[in-house]
Formats: sequence, structure tokens, C-alpha cells
Amino acid sequence: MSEPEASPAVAAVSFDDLSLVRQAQAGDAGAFAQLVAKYQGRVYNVCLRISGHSEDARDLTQEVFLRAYSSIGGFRHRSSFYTWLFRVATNVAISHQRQVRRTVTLPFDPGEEAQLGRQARGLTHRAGNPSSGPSERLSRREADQLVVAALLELDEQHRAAVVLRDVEGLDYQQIAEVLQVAVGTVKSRLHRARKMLRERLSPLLEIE
Amino acid sequence: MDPQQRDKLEQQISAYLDGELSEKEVAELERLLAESGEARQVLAELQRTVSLVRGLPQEQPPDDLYESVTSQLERAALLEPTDVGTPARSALDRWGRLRRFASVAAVLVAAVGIGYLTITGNDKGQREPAKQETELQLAEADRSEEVGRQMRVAAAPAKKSEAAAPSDRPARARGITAEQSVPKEVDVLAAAPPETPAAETHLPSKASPPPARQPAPKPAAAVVEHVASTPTLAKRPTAPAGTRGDTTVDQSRLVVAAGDRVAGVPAEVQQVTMLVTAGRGKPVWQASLKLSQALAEEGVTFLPVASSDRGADGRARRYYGAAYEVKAEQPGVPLYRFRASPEQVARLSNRVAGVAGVQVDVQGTDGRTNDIVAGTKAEQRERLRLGDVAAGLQARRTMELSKSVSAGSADVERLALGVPSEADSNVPTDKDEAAPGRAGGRQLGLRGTARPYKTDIAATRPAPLARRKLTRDKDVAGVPVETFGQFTRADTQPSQTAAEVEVTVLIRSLGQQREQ
Repeated sequence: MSEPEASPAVAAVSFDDLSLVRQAQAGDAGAFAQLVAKYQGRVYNVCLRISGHSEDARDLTQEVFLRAYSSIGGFRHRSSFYTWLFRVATNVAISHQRQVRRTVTLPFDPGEEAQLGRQARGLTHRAGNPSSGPSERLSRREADQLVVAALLELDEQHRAAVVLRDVEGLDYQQIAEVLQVAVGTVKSRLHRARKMLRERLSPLLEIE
Repeated sequence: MDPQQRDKLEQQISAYLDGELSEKEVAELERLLAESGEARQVLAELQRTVSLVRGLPQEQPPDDLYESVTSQLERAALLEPTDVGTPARSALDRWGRLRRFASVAAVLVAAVGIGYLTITGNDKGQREPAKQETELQLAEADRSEEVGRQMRVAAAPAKKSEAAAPSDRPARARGITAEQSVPKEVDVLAAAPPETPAAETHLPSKASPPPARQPAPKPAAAVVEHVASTPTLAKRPTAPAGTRGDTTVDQSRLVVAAGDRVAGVPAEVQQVTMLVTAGRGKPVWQASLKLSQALAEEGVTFLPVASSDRGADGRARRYYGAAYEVKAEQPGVPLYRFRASPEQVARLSNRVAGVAGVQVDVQGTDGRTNDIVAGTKAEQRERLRLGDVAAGLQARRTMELSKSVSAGSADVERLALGVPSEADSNVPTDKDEAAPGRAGGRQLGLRGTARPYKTDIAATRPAPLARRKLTRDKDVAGVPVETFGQFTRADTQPSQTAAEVEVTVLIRSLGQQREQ
């Protein structure tokens, strides 16, 4: 029987956050800059996975921190800072996605299921071959591209739930706080999102 | 299993994989999994799906993201009436209220405490610390809010420098706003590198008040002035019509600012920020195009100047070509800026300087950029508005164009002067303007001896670039020598090829122009 997978490393709330946030609220921009340095990578990845574009993610990350800075005075420490920050990040990223409605550039033609199947089956085969070195890495990269493409086909809310859970490792309660929905909604969204992902990635899931 | 049951099962398995089921639910599900092959199949597929998503690599953010963010934050902090919020102000306001409240509370506490001591007369020794603390609170409360604000503002970078900012990232911030349309180098969020002696930061503090502003040097004299930390801005005349900042609007101009700190390199190493400012009526786009070509060849990263400098979709980096044209019609507006090494600046400036009608200046800082945070926010804004930022930021500046070069190697000097090195034919020179590809991509080796020496280029040898600039800069006609940059660092090691030069400030102040 398989054990539940260990979730990715959940952000350790540093005690430094509290003092840094308080300093930032008192007008110490340097303290906020330290928070930027600390969280920029995670915020960037959240924005990247939701937007699907590195350039967008870069812009969105800037926007996230600007908004966070402008409203940090209103942060009441009712949640952890990173939860609050991720709320800003997801709001910014989702809002951006809704506004842009940009055509996603996929590494392949998403309409060609047959091609996807062949490609994915090839990846599965190569990934399962322990002797393949560079080719395995290549397969992994290609598989990642497929996963990213599948993620981008989810609507923003479902995508955000998956990103927060499986990329950022937040638990349901934290995701609920970030998305400002009930825990049950988080559970439901994750379920639907994974179901869609599973269908989309079914060729990759074939077990030889 | 009907679809509804299957859906419910999948949802439970999804939560199971996340460890979000209760013990009872887990027990029930695992019993079902043991009995049902279909359930196990669902579990396996979901596990694989989740593994694929969780296996996505964590992407590294762009190297310049931190700098870009802090730059924007710094602007937000300094320039209150902008599109971004002003948490610093609101925080300060709140802080001010807290301080006022604290002062009242402190007085009450002190009165009660003194009364109690008077009555009891006991335990004086034990109560002394509390009394001292109360006195400190009273003293603190007596200060004006403005003074407190100044100190807090000034203390921000100082705290950062003491606190060893994230070592792998330069705690650095710059700011350029289209609203002010002036070049500036700001370091509000940034830390002075630990190697920088605190005494050289010119941070105003209670212990060491800022030095008084020195009188302006006479025109046409090659004078290096140490800029005061808190210049008397109120006495500065408003920029007259036709001028803005340090940029003359009737002349296209590229302003190159130097002096950003670089992470992970010694303090004496300076990277360079080139700030390009467009004038009016001149084909600045030609220079911009040329510069962009050179930048691409150098692999230099572009940074957007400000949101207003972006295209209609807010994405300057992708539309900077259009931005050139737009900004060329708006005199004095910084077009873009980017980071480059000093030697890259030398090459780039050398190339764009060949474009007719465009002037290239080199500005820079010596890294002591904390002066910008001196004074109240109102003073800072005024300083920004008047285009005094560069001067305010720099520990040194020239009121006239001058030439002063010291170098750690002959190559550095050759590079600065655009004189081709026999050993390195890729050093760009004026002649290379016709073949811009020659200089691309290659880091010039600044190896050689670290033998420090100083020379006055104006007096001892010709400086093609300087001469050219001089003849083109009508604003400084009559000034005998113009400098490209000042190179110092006698203490660099020969192996630190990138550390051997430091481009320092050479900037002409608007005030001086008006006096002329």
C-alpha cells in the first residue's frame, strides 16, 4: 500500500519574518527588501506556474512585491506573512491571466492528440530505461513541458490550487487562506484539477 | 462503481495523497484500496499525476529580479505621489501617532513612577533602569516627528549595512522615474557594502551630522566637489524652461551613469548603470539603436526604466524599440538603463558617441549613494524634481567636465581612451564605429600589472573620446578637457580583472550651467 506522498517542503516560517514585517511596517524599506530577497524565488515560481511565461512571471513578481509593499501597513498578522504574500501573488497572477487571455505557447500542437500520445509514450519508455543518461534528462525536460502545458490548460483557480499545493507545498488550510475559500472548496478544486491533469497526461501515466 | 461513487473516491484519494484525511477516513480508504483494484488504479494514476507536477523544477528567478524589485520599491518609497502605494508614509504616519501616544504614556508613567519614588524612597537602585528608560522615552518623544523621519529614512541603509544583507544579492536599489525625468541613483533599500567604511557613507546621523554643502566651484575649472549630504534645496532655483534635470533639451544626449555595486565581488568593483536620456530634435534613436546593438553583443541586460516607459501593454523590454521613438519626443526622459561592467561602458559609450548629434556623458557614483536618503521626504522629492539626484547621490562630482584617470593597468587606460591595444585588437576605437560587430561579446582582459599610477589625461596625452565629447558639448564649450571616466583602485589584484577599474562620477550640474 502506498503511503501518501510527502508534500514538498512547506515554507518554514521564520521568526525573522515577524520582525522584518514589523520593521517594514514601521517604514524600514531595507527590512522589506530582505523579505523580497527571501521570497522572490517562491513568488516567482508561483507566478511562473500560474502565468506560464517567464517574462510574465518576472513582471508579476515585481507587481506582487510592489502591492505587498504598498499594503503591508494593513497586514495584521492574522496569517503568516508568506500566506499573505502568496495571496497577493495568486491574486495578481490570476487577475493578470484573466486580463491577458493570451494564447499559450505550447511546446507542441495541443490539438494533435496522436502526436502527444506518441511523444508521451516515448518519454515514458525512455524515462523507464535506467541506462539512459542524457536522453533521460531530455525526456524529463520534455515531460515537464507537457506537464506545464497541461497545467496551463486548467482555469486559473484550479491551476492556482494545484500550484499552491504541489509546487509550493501549502496545506489545505493555507491554500484556503490564500485563495480565501473554504477548505472543502480547496479539496474539491484540487480533485477536479488533478482529474483534468490525469486525463491530459494519461499517455505519460501509462505504466509499462 | 458508478460515476458519482468514483468521483467521490477520487476526491478522497486526492486528499489522501495530500495527507488531509482524518484517521478514520484514512482507515476506510485503505480498506477500500485493499479490496478494490479499481481504487488502487485510481490511486496509482493520481500518484503519478501528482508526482509529475511536484517534479517540476523550481525555476530560478532572473538574476536582476531582486534589483528590479527593490528599484521599484525604492521609487515607491521616495516618490509618494506615484501609482504605487506609499507604505513608508502610512507606516510613518502610524508610527508618528504611536510616538505621540507613547509620549503621553511615557509622561504618565514617569509621573506615576516619580510620585511613587517620592513617596516610598525605596529601592532606588532597582528602579534606576526603569527611570532611565522612561527618560529615554521622554527624550525620544521630545524629538520632532520630522527629525525622527529623517533618521529613520537615513538609518535604513545603515541598518542594512550593519546587518549583512543577503550576501548573494546586492542590496541595491536604483530609481529612475519618468515623472521626474531625471537620472538618479538611489540606494534607499540598499546596503553599503561591508567593505565600505561607515565614515565614507556620509550618512547623516545623530553622532555625525552631515557635512555642510561646499560652495560651487568656479566655472571652467576641473574641480571635484564632495557633495553635501543634505544640500539646502530650498535655495536652489527652479529649473528654468528649456532645461530639465541635468539634461539640456535642445540637444540629444545619452547620459551614462556608473557605479552600481555588484554582488559577490569586492567592494572596489563597480558595475555600471548606463542611463540613456533622450533629447529633442536629434536622432537619438540612431544612438539608441546603435547602443542596443552593442548591448546585445555585450550580453547586457536591459531593465525597464519605469512603467511609463513601457509600451502600451506595459512591457518595455519587448517594445523598447518603440519606446525610443516615443521618448525621443519627450526631452529629458530617461529611455532605459542597463547594467554593464565598466569596460563594457567604455566600449558602449565609445560606440554611441560616434553618432552624429548625440552626446554621451558618463556619470557615476563611487558607491556612496546614501546621500539621497538624507533629509525629509519633501527634500528628497525636491531634490529629485530639481534633477539634483545624481549630485546628491555622489560623493564626488565635477562641476565642470574634467579628466582624471588613474588606472591599475595600461589596458584599462587604453580602454577608457579608446586607444587600441596592440595586444588586443578587439578594443573598440572610433574606427570601430564602422564595424560595430568587432567589439561584441568579448570581455577585455584587464590583466597586466596592478601597478597603480595616476595621470592627468588632459595634460599628458590626448584623449580621443574626451576631445570628441568636448567639441560636441556646446554647454561646456571652453572647458579644456572632458573626461570619460575616472579609474581608481590601486589595491586591486591583477587576477581580479573585473575589479581593476572604477568609473566614477563626472557630471555637470544644472546649477552650474545656469550660473554660466
